[in-house]
Amino acid sequence: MSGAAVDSMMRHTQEKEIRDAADTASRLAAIVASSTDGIVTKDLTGKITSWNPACQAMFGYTADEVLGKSITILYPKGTENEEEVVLEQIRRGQPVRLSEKERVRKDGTTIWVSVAASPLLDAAGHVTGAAAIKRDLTATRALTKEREDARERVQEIARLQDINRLKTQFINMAAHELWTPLVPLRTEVHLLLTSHTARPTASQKESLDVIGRSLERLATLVEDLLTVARSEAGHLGIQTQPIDLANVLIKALETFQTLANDRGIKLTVPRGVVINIVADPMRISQVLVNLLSNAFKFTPKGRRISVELEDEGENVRVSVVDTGAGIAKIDLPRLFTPFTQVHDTTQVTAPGSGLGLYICKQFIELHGGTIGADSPGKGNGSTFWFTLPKRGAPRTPVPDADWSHAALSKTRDPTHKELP
Amino acid sequence: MTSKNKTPAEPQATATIPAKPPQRKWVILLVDDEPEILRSLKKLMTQSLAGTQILTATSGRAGLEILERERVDLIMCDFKMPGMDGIEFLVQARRLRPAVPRIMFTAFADNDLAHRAVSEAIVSAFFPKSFGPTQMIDEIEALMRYNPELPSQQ
Repeated sequence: MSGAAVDSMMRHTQEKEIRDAADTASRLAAIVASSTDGIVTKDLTGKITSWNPACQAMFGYTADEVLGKSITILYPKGTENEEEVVLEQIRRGQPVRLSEKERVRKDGTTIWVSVAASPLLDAAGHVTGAAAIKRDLTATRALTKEREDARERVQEIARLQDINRLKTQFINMAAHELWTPLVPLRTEVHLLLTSHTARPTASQKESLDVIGRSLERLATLVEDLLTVARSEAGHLGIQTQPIDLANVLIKALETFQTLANDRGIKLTVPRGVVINIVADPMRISQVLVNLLSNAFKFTPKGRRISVELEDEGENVRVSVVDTGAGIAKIDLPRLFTPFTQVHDTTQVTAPGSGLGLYICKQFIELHGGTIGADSPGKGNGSTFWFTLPKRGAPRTPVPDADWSHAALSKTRDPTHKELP
Repeated sequence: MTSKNKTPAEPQATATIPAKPPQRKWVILLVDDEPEILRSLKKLMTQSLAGTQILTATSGRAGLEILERERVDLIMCDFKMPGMDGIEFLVQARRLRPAVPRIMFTAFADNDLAHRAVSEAIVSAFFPKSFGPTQMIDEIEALMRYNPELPSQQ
């Protein structure tokens, strides 16, 4: 081979090497430019020597703004000296991996990144700086946080369900244990008051009446607590059937007529109407009795209480309108929550359990209806109303013929007087 | 207790006298693990239901023993008892004396239990413990009146 040929071949080789090197450089540049990870190089003092578009997108600075400046402009205030540790490791030729580091954007907002920094070497193998790849973890962190939050919520729900179950168990057990002494107490007082062999003296009878009335109050409270416990455990049910609502209302009102006469209260009820609906007559009657008991409790002698029945097409509305104490606007929304009592110090009547209206709400809602109260304010009377869909609840429980026995599921009439 | 109380079934000594006087005594079996409840209810029924004889048992097992050897016209029992519970007792009582009506008397007056009492023990009635004395007597009287198997109808 001639010298010229060799020279030519050498030149070709060198040219190819140069071309290859240029190709490699442009390919790398393209990768750096198009990378979604931020790629930044810095010298051994921490000054930025290159800054790719992803860095600009990530931190908000253009290359012109950061070239020649210290990398610590990205560090949160007070953490700048951490860079010294990184540079020390780079100088020793060791790569640096940082996960979940907080950095600051140009606009001052926080960004979370992972950093992989590797030493840059010159031809002689000396460290001249570092190339760092920064990955934006903000989205990943948000997702992780969302997952953690979701997991926490699930745990919280399970915890609350546990508490609720325990609470229900506790109330059930407490109510059961309370009935055990209450049954003989009520029975014995009844026996003493009705005994034909040993009649109590007037003074003894007075005492027995007080005991009896207090026992009835206690019995109502225990029964209301049980009802709420059952409702919370999802055991409260209704037994619906086709009924004439007007007839159910008139029957429930009968027990109040005597009380109305005694107190000189004019009680008006709808007569001569028939409203056929699908509902649980016991529960509806219980709700009405509860609303009327309240009306009587807060209506002074000689005033008026009326029960109104309105046909609204799909629904029927029952209202108990009294001319009594009335309710302040602020108290209206709290009426149907458990253990709420709107106390009026001018009233001397015995308070109830604070559960009555809450229980009414449960029963009406089981029917797919709504319940509410309106009042023009203190001293101006109030209206308690409920609506019922005529065709019954959307998911009407199937009435079980076997246990529609008269005595079954019978609820205690709160106005029922156990004592003569 | 006075000597008069030893014959508490005297018709004139009761407030509620059935329209039709019974030919013989109604026998009611009460089962409850609480002796105080048993004692009070026995007194109430003896005083208020003319011509009744009350038998008591403090456990399901004791109740079954009574059923095996005595004639009984009505059974009323509690649900929550140690050992055999009320449903179990009533199921066995039904096997022994299918014609005798059964009443469940319980503080756990929820739909689930009522359903079990009806479907498993085929009870005639389910009394919540919130029933006061007057209401309980009224219900038992109604049950006795409408039950052709019972002595009041003979």
